[in-house]
Amino acid sequence: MLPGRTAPRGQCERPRLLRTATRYRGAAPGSGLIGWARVRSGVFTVPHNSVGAEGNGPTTCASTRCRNSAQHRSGGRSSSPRMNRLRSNSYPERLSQNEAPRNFPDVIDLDGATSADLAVDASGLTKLFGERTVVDAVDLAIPRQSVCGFVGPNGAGKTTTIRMLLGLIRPTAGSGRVLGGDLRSPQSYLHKVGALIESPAFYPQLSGKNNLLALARLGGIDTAVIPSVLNRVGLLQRSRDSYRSYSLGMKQRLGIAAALLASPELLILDEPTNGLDPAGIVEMRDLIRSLADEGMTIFVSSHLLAEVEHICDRLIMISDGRTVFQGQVAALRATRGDELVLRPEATSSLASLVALLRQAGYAVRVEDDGSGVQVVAVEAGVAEAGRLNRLAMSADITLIHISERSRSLEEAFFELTGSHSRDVSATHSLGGIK
Amino acid sequence: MIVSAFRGEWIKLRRRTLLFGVFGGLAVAASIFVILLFSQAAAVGPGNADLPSLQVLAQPNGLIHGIDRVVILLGIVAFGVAAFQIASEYSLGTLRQLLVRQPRRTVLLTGKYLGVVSFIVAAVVFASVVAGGVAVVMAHVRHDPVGAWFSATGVKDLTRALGELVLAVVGFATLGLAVGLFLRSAVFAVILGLAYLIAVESIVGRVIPAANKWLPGQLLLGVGQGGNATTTFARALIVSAVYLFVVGLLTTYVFRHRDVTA
Repeated sequence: MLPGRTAPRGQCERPRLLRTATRYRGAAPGSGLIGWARVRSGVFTVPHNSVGAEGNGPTTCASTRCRNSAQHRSGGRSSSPRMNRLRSNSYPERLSQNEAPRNFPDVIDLDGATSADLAVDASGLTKLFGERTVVDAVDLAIPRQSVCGFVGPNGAGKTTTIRMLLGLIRPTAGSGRVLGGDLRSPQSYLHKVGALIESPAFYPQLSGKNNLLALARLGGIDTAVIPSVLNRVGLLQRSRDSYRSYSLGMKQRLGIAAALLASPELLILDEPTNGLDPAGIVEMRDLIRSLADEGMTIFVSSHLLAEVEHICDRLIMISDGRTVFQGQVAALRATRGDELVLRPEATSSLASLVALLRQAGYAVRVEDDGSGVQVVAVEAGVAEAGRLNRLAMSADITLIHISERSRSLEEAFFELTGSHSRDVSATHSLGGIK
Repeated sequence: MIVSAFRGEWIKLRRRTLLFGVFGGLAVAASIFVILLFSQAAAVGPGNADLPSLQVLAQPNGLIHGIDRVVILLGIVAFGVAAFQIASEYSLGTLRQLLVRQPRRTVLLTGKYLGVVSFIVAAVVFASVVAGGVAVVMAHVRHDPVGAWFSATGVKDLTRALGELVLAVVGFATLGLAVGLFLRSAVFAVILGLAYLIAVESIVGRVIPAANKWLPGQLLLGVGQGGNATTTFARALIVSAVYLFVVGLLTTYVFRHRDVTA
C-alpha cells in the first residue's frame, strides 16, 4: 500500500465519465463510423452499500475502489438524482452511422469537469517518422484513479503514443497535459510517473537491486524504498542475483518495481504481460489490480483484449495510428447488443430459419459453433428469445438450442476498426489465439 | 541533479567486470610495459627514441619516458569505455528508463559524462601508481638509481606529465562518448572508433604528414606527451579544446533532440 493513497473506508471512489463539450473528429477510414466524441471526466464518491438505481441491490465493496463489485459492473449507478438525470441524456462515445443513440450507463454529462480530473489529457497527438504517419491526431483522456487499457494491433502506434507521453519522442503535432504538467516539459510531471516501456531493459551484469539503485540515485529517489518495491513484486529474495539470471517473468516484475520506485501517481505499462506464461499473466493482473486499488492511475497497453477486459474499467482503442474508441469497457460492449444463438433440429431448415428471421427484421448470420455444427446468430437480447422461438415454431422449425452470447471486446474492436477481414493475423493476435 | 546522474552512473561503472577489467587491465598493461622497458634498456648511453637507456631512465624525468609511450594505449581504452557506456544505453534499451527518471537530457548527459571521465581518470591514476611501483622495483633489479625521481624536479615533472596524460585521456573519452552516442551501437562504436584512431589516422598521417597537425587523435597524443615532433603542447591543447567543444555541443544537441526509439 502506497502511503497516503488509500480511499477512506466506507466509501467507494470510482471515476465516472462526464461529458462536457462534444466535438467530432473524422472517423478512421473503413470504420464506417461518423466520428467520435471526446469525453471528459471527473470523480465522485458513492456511499458504501448504496443501492443501484436499477435495483441491483446493495453493492459490496471488495476493495477501496470497488473494482469488480456489483456496483462497479452495473456502471456505478448513483443514488444522486442529478447523476441519474444526467445519465438519461447520455450518448455513446462513438456512434455507428444511422444508429440511434443508446443508453450508455457509464457515460454521463457533467459540466465543470476540468483537466485536473484527468491524469492524461492530450489532443491531436501526431507523430511522423519521415513521410510515415505513425500516430495520427490521437486524443487521450484518462481519468485519475482509473485503470485504462490502450489496445490495438501490433504497429497501431501504442508504443509511440506512450513514448510521447513519457517525453522520449517529441510529438510532430498536438498538445496535452500529464498530471497537470505540459507534455512538452516532461520534467514537470515525470517524477510522478512510473513506466514500463515495451520489454524491461536493465543492465545484465548488475543485480536486480543495483539496477534499481542506479535508477533511484539518478532520479534522486530515497533508496530505502528499494526493498519494499522488490518485496511488492516478489523479487526481494532474488534481488542480489544478476539480472541476466532472471526469468522473463522476473524481468517483467523488476520492470514494474522500477516503475514503482517513485511512488507514482500514474503508472504506464506497455505490454506488461508480453512473454509471460499463464501463471505470470495472472500474477501481473493481480499486481495491477492491487496497485489500482491503492488509487494509482494505470494506463496499460496491450494487444491482448481479453487481458485488458479483465483489468480495465476504461478503454482506448487505436488502429492505424488513430483513436477508434475511448470510453468505458461496458460502453463499448453496449455499442451492439448481445446475441442469441439458435440451432434448429434439422440442418435442412437452417436456410428457412435465416429467411424467416430476416423477414422479421433481425440481423442474422450463420456460423460454425466450433464443433462443426451450423448455428444462427441473431442480434437480439435474451428478452427476444421467446419471440424467436414462437416465430420458428410458427414455421414448423424446431429449435433444440437457444443461448445468449455476450459480445466480446474483440468483436467490438474489429467492428470499430473494420480490420476483421483485412488483417487476419491481427485478429488472432488480438484475441490471444496465436 | 548532475550529482544524482553522476552517482547513478557510478553504480554501473563500479560493476565488478568493468572495474577489474579496466583498472586491473590498465595496471597490468602499464606494468608489463615498465618491465619490458627496464629489462630491455641498455645500461649506458642515450638509448633511442623507442627505448631509452637506464642512464636516461634514472634522470628526474625518467618516468616520463614511460608515460609518454602509453598515452595512445590509455587513450584507446578511454575511448572504448566511454563509447561502450553510452552506446550500450541505446542497445540495451536502458536509455528510456534513465530518461523517465531524469528527463532533463543535458543533466543526464553531463552526469554520465562526468561519471565516465572520472572512472577513466581514476583508472589511469591507479595504473600509474601501480606502474610507478613496478618501475621502482625494476630499477632496483637493474641497479638503476631512483633518487632523482623523488627530487623536487622529478616530482614536478611527473605531476605535469600525469596532468597532460589525464587531459589527453579526457579528450579521448569525450570523443568516445560522442561516437557512441551518434552510432548508438556499442560494438560498432568501439570498432569504428578504434579503427579510425589506429588505422585511418596512421595512414593519413603517413600519406600526408602535414595532416597530423589537425587529426584529433594525433593532437590528443600531442597533449598527452606534452608536445611532440608534430605539434607543440600549447597548440595541441588549443586545437583539441576547440574540437572537443564543437563535438560536445553537437553531442548535446543531438542527445537533447533525438527521439528515443530504442
